[in-house]
Amino acid sequence: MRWLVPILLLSLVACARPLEVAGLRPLSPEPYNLAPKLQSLQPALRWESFPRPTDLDADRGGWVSRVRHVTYDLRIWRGVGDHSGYQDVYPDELVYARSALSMPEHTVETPLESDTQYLWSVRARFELDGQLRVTPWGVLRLPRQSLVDDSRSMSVPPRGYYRFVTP
Amino acid sequence: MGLATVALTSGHFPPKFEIVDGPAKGARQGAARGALLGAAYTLGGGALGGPIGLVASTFLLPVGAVGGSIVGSVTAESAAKVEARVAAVGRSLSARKIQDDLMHRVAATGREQTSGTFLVLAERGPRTVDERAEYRSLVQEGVRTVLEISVMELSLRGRTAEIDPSLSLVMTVRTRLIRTDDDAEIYTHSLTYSGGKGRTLTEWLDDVELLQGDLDRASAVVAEKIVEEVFLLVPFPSERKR
Repeated sequence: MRWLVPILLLSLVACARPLEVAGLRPLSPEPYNLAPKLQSLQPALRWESFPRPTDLDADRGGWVSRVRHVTYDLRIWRGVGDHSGYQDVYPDELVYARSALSMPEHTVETPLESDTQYLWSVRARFELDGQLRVTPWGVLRLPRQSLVDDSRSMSVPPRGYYRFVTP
Repeated sequence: MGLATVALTSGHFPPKFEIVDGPAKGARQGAARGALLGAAYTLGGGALGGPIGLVASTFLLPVGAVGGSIVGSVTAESAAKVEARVAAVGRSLSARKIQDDLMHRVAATGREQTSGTFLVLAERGPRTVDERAEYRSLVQEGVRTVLEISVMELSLRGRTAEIDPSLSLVMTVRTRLIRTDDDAEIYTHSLTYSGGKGRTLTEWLDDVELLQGDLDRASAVVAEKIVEEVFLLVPFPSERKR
């Protein structure tokens, strides 16, 4: 049975390391393999602000420097297990949405259901050369692919939205 | 793209409709899937019982397979009956309504989320999957850009290894952005919606409104994504270079 110990430890380390994301990174709760269990039905959510230092670095003198009036859109969906057999969680019902939040943080104003898995995501909304523009919604970079994933066609809705579980 | 007046058109053809990995057809397919399931459950049960259980389950595998095969052959419906059910689902869908609903949903979402003007041209659009509709004449009406939205395929998709699997709706949509000056295609994209609650084929057939409800939901999700992709989205510069 001793051989099981390193395997278990490796699994624990893998679960404990925050996942890679595409989009504005959640700062609280942080993205882990297992959806973090929160302490409140009205969680305080925080994420990176836009533009990020990496965006400014990658686009010196480009369009990022012309971005004006940055705000944020937040959405929360009730999550259900995807029947396709992977550990995907599907955004079933949109239960909470806020648009044009002035700060990269928000405390949910109405209580969510207890002991429920939720998916959430954020994007930046801004003005660029007088036109309204948005960044992509933030998602986890998941190695698994859904059964219907096809490189020639973009799949919606994404299964990789950020996750949390209510107490 | 910058926003002025955008005309919207939709496909005027029925989307391909199919059941992918649906219920097993006939005793032979049912037996095969049942055998696979029986074997998998035997092995799975053994794995839960630890290493000894795993070894024992390997020897019990043929027993599970035979048991599953019997259950599968009894449970599966005749091929003709399954085909008839598929045809019934296909007939319950109105091609024109599906195509038009999505176009109107994109127009409404565009008006709500952007400052552009969205003009619905219900009578224009390709009559077949392969037709390249011409829009040059719209220049005289002041329309510079046409967004053509066509639902190409609808399917209820399950998993091969189940005798009567849970099926979910999948909708594939093609979008083309065309410059009316010269009918040049300046953007083309394909989106696939998949999701909603999985149901057996019988459940889908028992209540056709369930399918309409899921189609509405799919249209809303796809319309929002089209508006975002075509008119609003700017990729992060740091992630574009990955």
